[in-house]
Amino acid sequence: MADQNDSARAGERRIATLLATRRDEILNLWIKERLEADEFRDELISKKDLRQQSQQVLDMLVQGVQDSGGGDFDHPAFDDLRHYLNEISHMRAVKGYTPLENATYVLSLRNVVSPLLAEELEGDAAALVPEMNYFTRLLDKMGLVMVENFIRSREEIIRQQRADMLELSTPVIKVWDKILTLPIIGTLDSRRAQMMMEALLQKIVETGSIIAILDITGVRTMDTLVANHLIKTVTAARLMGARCILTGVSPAIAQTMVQLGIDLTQITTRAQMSDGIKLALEMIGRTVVPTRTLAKLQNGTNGDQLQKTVKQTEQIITTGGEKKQEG
Amino acid sequence: MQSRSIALESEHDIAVARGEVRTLAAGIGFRIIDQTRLATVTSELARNVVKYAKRGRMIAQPLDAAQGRPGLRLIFEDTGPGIPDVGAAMRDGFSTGRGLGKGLPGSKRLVDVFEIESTVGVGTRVTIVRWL
Repeated sequence: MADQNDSARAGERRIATLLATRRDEILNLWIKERLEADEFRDELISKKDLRQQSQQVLDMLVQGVQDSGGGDFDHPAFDDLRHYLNEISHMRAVKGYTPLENATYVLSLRNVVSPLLAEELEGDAAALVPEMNYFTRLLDKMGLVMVENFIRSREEIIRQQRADMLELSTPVIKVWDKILTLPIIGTLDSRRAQMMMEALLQKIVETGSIIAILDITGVRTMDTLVANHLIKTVTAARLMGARCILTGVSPAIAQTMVQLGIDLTQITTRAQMSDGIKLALEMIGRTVVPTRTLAKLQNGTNGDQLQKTVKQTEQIITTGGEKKQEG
Repeated sequence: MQSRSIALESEHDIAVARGEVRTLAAGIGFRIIDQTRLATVTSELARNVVKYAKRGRMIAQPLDAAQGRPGLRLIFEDTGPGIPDVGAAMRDGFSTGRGLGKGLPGSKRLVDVFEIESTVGVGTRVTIVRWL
């Protein structure tokens, strides 16, 4: 037992020596191997960065092996290397590497070092095996660290994106005095529906709105849960004194809802958002009139001069017409 | 085309299943309306799995002419509590979970074949087919 340990340690020191003395050669071979690998994508990392990174990894590996006296990867002497690998894999997760590319990076070092080690220890088969085993064990652990942290980074990114989307996806927009619109896009799960309802009710209070247009043009699938959320939102808005208009129902969704047996007859609907806005304006006693018609009206009733009419028209447009004036 | 199995454990999995079914349906040649029908049924049945059984899976089997008729078969299975009264669950307006009570009967109206097997304490399997 004691003998085995001793011989293993002697071997481990030799791998450290090999890595240290032939570092540049190993580095060059390793980078060459990476650059030639099928999965290497130069748009993700520059050659210079790859070189710098790989050199750092090698130096830290040698340091770890030496400081730990040939210890395993959980030895504190490998802490620096572990941190650095975490950093690399995080950076790679952000840049969009695949998990395979990430793990292969470290594991490919074996292909480079194995022949050199065999060469170094030629004729000393007894030393080669434990040394190779030790080196392989280290690389496996390094690969695992890379993969684990890579996945953790990815999950973190996904969580962040989901949170961002939740925020972004419930914009309540005031389109006119007393009129709000709520464009609903994508998947409406319970959490988003809840946020949507809260945002809408809050905005109704803030702006004193009495009409809310819910637009579902961006919703691809309307199941009973989504329908239920919509009905609840409409009911809650009504309790706050606001009426809802549902717009953007696609033909596919309309048919599906009928077959599902969802009754939305209680909700005012319009095919398109623009129809919804028109209806909403009518509901607050406004209408969209072409400028020319308006001018004629003004002229006909008052007999006033054109100058004055234009002025009045402008005033009407700024206070109570519609943004888009078409002739 | 190969069948696909998707694990159902979370709200996110439901969205994944829905997307997968939509892609498969489009690949088979279903029109938008049928893609929407199938995606909606997937949403309903996958949600039932997650909501009542916590976890289960969906198996999507594209059917081609060699198997009789082209279409898409979807199987939703779980080892959850099961449905004590399948007859009641298939009635409009019946819900044990504060829903609209339209999920199961509505889904049945959206597809051509709808089979449900459920044993209390063992689990539930719903098989649906929509022909092309």
